[in-house]
Amino acid sequence: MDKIVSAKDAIAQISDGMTVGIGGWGPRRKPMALIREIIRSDLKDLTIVAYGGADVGMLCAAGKVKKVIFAFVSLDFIPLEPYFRLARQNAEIDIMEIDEGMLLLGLRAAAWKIPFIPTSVGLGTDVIKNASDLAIINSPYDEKEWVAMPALKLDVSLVHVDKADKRGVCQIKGPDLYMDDWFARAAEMTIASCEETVHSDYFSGADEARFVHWERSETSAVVPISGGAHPSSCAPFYGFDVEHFKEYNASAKEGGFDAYSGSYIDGKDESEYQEAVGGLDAIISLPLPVY
Amino acid sequence: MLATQLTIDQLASRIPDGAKLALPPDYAYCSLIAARALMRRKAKNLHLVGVPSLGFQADMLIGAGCVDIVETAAVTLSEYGLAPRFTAAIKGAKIKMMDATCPAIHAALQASEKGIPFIPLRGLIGSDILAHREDWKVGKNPFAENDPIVYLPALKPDVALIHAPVGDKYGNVWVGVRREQMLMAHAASETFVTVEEIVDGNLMDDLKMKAGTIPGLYISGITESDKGAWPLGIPGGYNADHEHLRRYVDLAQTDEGFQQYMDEFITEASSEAAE
Repeated sequence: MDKIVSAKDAIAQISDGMTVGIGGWGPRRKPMALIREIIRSDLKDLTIVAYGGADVGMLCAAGKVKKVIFAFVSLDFIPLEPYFRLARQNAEIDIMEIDEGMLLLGLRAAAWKIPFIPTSVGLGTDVIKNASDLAIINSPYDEKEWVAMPALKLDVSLVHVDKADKRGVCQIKGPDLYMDDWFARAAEMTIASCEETVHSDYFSGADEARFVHWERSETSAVVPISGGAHPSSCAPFYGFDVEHFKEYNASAKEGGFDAYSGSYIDGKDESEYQEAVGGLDAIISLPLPVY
Repeated sequence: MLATQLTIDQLASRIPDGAKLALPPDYAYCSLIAARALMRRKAKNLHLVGVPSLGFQADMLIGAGCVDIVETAAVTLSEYGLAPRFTAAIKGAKIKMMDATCPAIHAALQASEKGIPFIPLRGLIGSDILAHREDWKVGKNPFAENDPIVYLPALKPDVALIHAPVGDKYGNVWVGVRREQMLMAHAASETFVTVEEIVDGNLMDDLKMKAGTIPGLYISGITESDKGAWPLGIPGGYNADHEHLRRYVDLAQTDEGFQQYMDEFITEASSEAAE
């Protein structure tokens, strides 16, 4: 079995109107090369589920998005993702704004193929008031009210990993895998971009296998792209590109996304993108943030 | 904080009569040495929960009269066939059976782990399992019309009793890929554990061990018990004592035979009791 495909062929499996989960967290380990491939495509009306960063902002700015299901959309040191902010302010997108833990419960419910998971998270807050997708239910076992967090069933998930083999075994050695394992399990198909492909023997020992966090059957396509998380980080290999994010952030105030995309994405393939941002060597040399 | 280290008989005395007692399956890490200590102290009215199935450990406890209720997806001695003391107790209406399924046991424990009163579960409606579980209610899917689903009530054991290859003096216990033992510890009010060896250092400082380690905060008491799973084995450690298990199955076919087994291996005369 060989699941290795090009980014273009992988993205071609996505259709208009699909619900797309995106792994990573804010400016960290986002499958940005796959996001850029969606921006170059004709896809539209996507529902995006993410712990969002520039992935969500760029897709909104490029007119690909109908709805975003999110707990935050942030670049961390730039607290509000600039293009997501514009999309919200201009009421260009539908939203379901929930708590980080509720989002995780929704992914788990989808992975477990149950319609919802009850939780007390959100009771008494405006999250409940504003999210019409949630339901309040009674438990037959007590007198309390509970929030029913619905399953967030995903048509496809996009994740970026360190290493993968052609069978779809994926490895993440960073300090946090975020919710990527649940994104993979909640989706009908999962497309994983990776820094490097390896022979399956690489995973035969416990030292490497213990960094494999989901079953290979969950991964439907493997897309090798070194530096594919740029401008987000891929710890422990490279950090996020602060200067690039600053330029991206400034473009929302002056020039707009068309100008940004014209410089880096539109009409350029991924190797041209990497040349435009300083080259692969510069990407993989970006320092990890120190806290 | 250092863990409470117990002798095996102290551990058995901390599991009260009438406790809802969760046990792992024979193919995980079972504390047979603790089961024998429970039999020696003549524990009574236990409500066993198989996570998700039960075997030799439960059969012995049932034979010794320690058990009132069995809640599990299966009781089996695998290649040794039916569990003879369980079968006799069911035929003689000596115990109450609460039939479950493997996913139901795991999901109900996960509900306890999360602190929620129930969790929805597919796949039970229309089965006789559900017909015999009046404590399991069917509810609505609030997000679809005409889509009933079982609202499986949280299952909260009073005590989880497990065995493990390695623990440390802080009560951290390595169970590796036997994740049901982690779930049991999260869900139960208290967890008691026997380990082959209490090692120096802190398992949580070892990157290769810590992902498979139950943190000591879940562990109420720990007992170092070399070969504590015997006559069962432990995966990656020692094999089951098949000759002994065969002998047990042969003897346990009758009340008299089981009593002979008890006299020989479990009561006051045994070396464990003398320790």
